[in-house]
Amino acid sequence: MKKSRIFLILLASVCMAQICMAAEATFSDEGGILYTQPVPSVIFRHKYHVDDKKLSCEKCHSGLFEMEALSAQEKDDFVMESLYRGKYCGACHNGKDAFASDTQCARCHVRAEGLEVGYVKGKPAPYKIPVYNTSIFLGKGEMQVRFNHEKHTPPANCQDCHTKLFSIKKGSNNITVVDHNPQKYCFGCHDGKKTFSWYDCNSCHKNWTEIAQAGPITSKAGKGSCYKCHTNDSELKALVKPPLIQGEGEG
Amino acid sequence: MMDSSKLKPEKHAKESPAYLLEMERREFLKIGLKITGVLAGGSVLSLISNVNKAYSLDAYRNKYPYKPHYTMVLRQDRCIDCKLCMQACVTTNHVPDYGWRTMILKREVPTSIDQKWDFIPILCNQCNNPPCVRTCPTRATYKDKTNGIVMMDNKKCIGCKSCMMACPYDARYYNEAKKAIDKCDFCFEARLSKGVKNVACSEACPADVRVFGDLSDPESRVYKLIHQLQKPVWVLREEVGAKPNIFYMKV
Amino acid sequence: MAGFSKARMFLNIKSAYERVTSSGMVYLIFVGLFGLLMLIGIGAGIYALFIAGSRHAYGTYREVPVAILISTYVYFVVASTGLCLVSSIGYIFGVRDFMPIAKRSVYLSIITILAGFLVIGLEIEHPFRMALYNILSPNLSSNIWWMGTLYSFALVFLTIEFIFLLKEEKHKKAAIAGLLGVITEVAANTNLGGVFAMMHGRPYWYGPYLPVYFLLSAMITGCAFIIFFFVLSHWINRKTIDQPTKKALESVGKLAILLLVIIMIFTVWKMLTTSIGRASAIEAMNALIAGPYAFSFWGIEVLGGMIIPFVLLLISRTKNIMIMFVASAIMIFSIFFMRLNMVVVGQIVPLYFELSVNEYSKLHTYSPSVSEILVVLGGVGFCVLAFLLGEKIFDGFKQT
Repeated sequence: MKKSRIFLILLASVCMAQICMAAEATFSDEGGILYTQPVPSVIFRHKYHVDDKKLSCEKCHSGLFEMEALSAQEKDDFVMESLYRGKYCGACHNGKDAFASDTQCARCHVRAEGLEVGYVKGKPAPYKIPVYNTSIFLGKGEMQVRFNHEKHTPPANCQDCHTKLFSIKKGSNNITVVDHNPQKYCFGCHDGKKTFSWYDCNSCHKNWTEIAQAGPITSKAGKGSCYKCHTNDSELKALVKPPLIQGEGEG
Repeated sequence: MMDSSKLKPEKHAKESPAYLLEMERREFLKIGLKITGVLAGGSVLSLISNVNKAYSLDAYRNKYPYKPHYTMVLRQDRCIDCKLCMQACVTTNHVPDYGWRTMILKREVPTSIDQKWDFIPILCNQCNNPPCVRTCPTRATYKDKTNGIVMMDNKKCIGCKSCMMACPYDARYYNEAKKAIDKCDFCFEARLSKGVKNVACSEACPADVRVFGDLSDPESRVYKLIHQLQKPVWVLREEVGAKPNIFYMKV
Repeated sequence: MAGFSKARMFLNIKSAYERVTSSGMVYLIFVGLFGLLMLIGIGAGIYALFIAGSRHAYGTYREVPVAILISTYVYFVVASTGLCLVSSIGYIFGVRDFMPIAKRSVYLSIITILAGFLVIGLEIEHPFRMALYNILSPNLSSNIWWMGTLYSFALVFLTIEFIFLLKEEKHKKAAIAGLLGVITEVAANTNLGGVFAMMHGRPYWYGPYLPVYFLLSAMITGCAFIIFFFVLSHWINRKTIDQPTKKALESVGKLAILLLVIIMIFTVWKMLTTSIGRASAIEAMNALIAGPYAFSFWGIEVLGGMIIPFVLLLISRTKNIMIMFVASAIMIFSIFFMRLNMVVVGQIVPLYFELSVNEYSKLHTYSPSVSEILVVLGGVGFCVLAFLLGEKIFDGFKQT
C-alpha cells in the first residue's frame, strides 16, 4: 500500500536500534508508550524489554505488534482475553516466559498522572528518534545492497517500512529482481517522485556494470534473469550503462 | 451537691463552711449515681443501644440482621485504576466535582520484588456499628432496617459535620446542591430503589473488582467469596470497631 | 412570666438606660467598637453561609471539616461552664470566700454561652433546621445532641438563677436554679468532651481523657475570666475593689494555681501515653511538638497558657491584683489557641494514614479564612459588648 508521508503527529515512538544486526541493543523510548484504550492506562516501556531483557525487535514486531505506536489499541481485540489466548503481550506473558497476564495487574496498569510518558496519541513525540549507524546488507555476494538506516530516518519513520514492507528478522527479506515493483520493499518510495528512482541501479547496487556483466545478463535462463522481461538483447545492454534516469520510468 | 432543703434561710446562720462541706460530701455521693446518666448523656445511651451489636467479627458473619444484607467485596489485586467506577458513580449519582463517593488510592511499595504498587478502592463502608449514625444529632443519617444501607435524610441534616468527623473512612462530604451531607448509598436512590440489581461502580468495573451482593443469601457470589478460609479477607481499620460491611481480598 | 408584674421588677429599664447613656466617652466608644465588631462578624457569617457557601468562604474542607469556629464555640461554652462552676463554689457549695463573685460570674456565664451559640450558629449550614429537628428528631445516642440540649437548658437555668440573684431575697430559689445550672453545665461540658473523645476513628481524640480534661480546663478558664473581667469591671465602674471581692479573687487565684498544676500534669501524661500509641496519634503529637503546630503548642499553649500564668500567679501571691490580671489576660488569649490546637490537630493526620497511600501520606493543612476570623471576632465582640452593657445595666452587680 502506498504510504504518503506521515505527519509529525504519527511519528513513530518506537524505533529500532541495531537490533537486526546483533543481540546487543539499547533502546530508550524516553518515557514509554501510554495506552489509554480500552481502559486507561498502561505504559509500555521498551527499556524493560529491550535493554533489560535483551529481546530482539522481531520477537514482538513480527506479527504481534505493529511498529506504529498505539496501533494496537485501535483494534477491537486488544482486550485481556486476547492476551490470555496468546495474542499481543500474552505471547510471552503466559506464566512461562514471563509473568502471566492474569497476575500482577498493577504491574502494567498504572496511574499515568505524574509519570513520565513519552508517546501520547495525538501529540508529537517529545523525543528524538534514535539514529541508526549500522548498515544492513541485503542479499549476498556482488548483488548485495548496502542499506543505511541513518539516511532513511528521519525522512521515513520506522512504521513506514516495518513491518508491512520489510520484516525485521535478519535475512528474511528476499528481494529478487521480480520483486522490484512499486508495491514491495523499497520501490514504493524509490519511484522517482518521492526520491530517486530504482531504475538508477547504481544507487543501491554498487558496480552494477560489473555485476550485470557477471550476472543476470549472461545467464539468460536463470532465475531472476533480466531476460525474463527485457527480451531485447541490445536494449538491455543499453540499459546497463544508462545515464541517470529522471522522471517517468518505464514499466 | 447540697440538698436544697439545707438552704432554708433560717439555717444560714448556723452553717459554717466546714459543716456545709461535710454535708455536701455525703449528699453528693447519694445524688452522684442519679446524675451520672445525665452527665454522661449520649455516651451511656450510645453504649446501651449498641450493646447488642458488640459482638466479634466472626460472630456477626454468622447472623445477618438485614434482608438483603447488601455488601461489596473488593478484589483489590484486580484493580487497575482505570477509574471507570468513579466516572460511573459521578454520572449515576450526580456527584459534584468537589466531592467523591468512591475513590481509588495508590499504595506504593518500591522495595517490592514484583508489582510495586497497589490500587485500593474505597467507599462508604456501610458499617454495622456506624459512628456517623451514633453521632448525628438529628438522626439525619440512619441505618436502614431492611437492607442495612446507611442512608441520609437530607431534610434533617443541619450541616454540623460531626458525621464527617466521626467517620473513620472519609466517606462523607457536604453537598451544596442537596444542602446536606452526601455519601455512597449503594446507588439506592439511583438504582436499587428502582429495581436495578447492581450498583453503578460494580457494573462499570472492567476487571470485576467490585462484587456487589446480598450477604444473607448463601448462594450469592459475595457469600461464597467471604465464607472461605483459604484466601484472607479483611476490612479497613478494624480496630475502630465500626464493623464495616465492605470486605477486601486478593484472589 | 405571669407573676412578674406583681413582683418588684428586678431591673428598672429606664434607669438602666440612663446609666448606659450617661457614661463616659471612652466607654461609649468601646461599646460602639465592639458592637460594630459583632455586626461585622455576623455579617461575615451570613455572607459565608448563605451567599458564598462555606466551601468557598471557610477554610474547612472534607478532610478537616471543623476548625476555628468549632474551637471558638468550645472556648466560649467551656468558659461558661468554668464561670458557672467557680461561681457555684460560693453560692451552692457555700464557701463564703467565693460568694462576692457570684452575680457577675453567672452573668458572664450566660453571655459566654450566647457568644458560643452565635459562633456555632454561623458555622453549621442550617441553623434553623437545627432548632427544628433537634426537637422533632433527637438522637439520644449523640453527644452533640446532649451537649446542645444541655447547654440550652443551662442557659435557661442560669438566666433564672441570675434573675433570682438580682432580686436579692430569693436565695433558695437562686440556689436551686444554680444547682440545676451547674449540673447541666457540667454534663454539657463533659458531653462536649465526649463528642471528640468517642470518635474512635480519630486516635488523637479517642479515649477517656478529653471529657475530664474539658472539665478541668473549664475551671481554669473560669478562673481566668473571673479575674480578668472583675478587674475590668472595677475600672469601668471607677471603683476600687472592696475587701470581700479582693478576698474572693485571691481564692480564685489560689484555685487557678492548683488547677494549673493539675492541667500541666494532665498534659504531660497525655503526651507520654500518646507516644506509645498508634502511629496516627503519634503523628498528630509530633505535629504539635515538632511540626507545624510547634509554636502554637510550646509558645502559646504551654508557655502562655500554663507556665507563665502559673509563675505570675505565684509571684503575685494572689494578693497583687494587677499581676493576676496580666496572668489572666495571657491565659484568656492562650486558651483560645489551646482549643484550636485540640480541634485541628485531631484532624490533620489523614484517616488512611496507616494505609500508607500516596493520597494520604502527608498531614492535612488548615488555615482560617477571613470569614472565619471575622466570625470569631464577632463572637468576641458580642461577649465584650454584653459585658460592657451588663456593667452599666445591672449597676455593677452590687452585692448586698
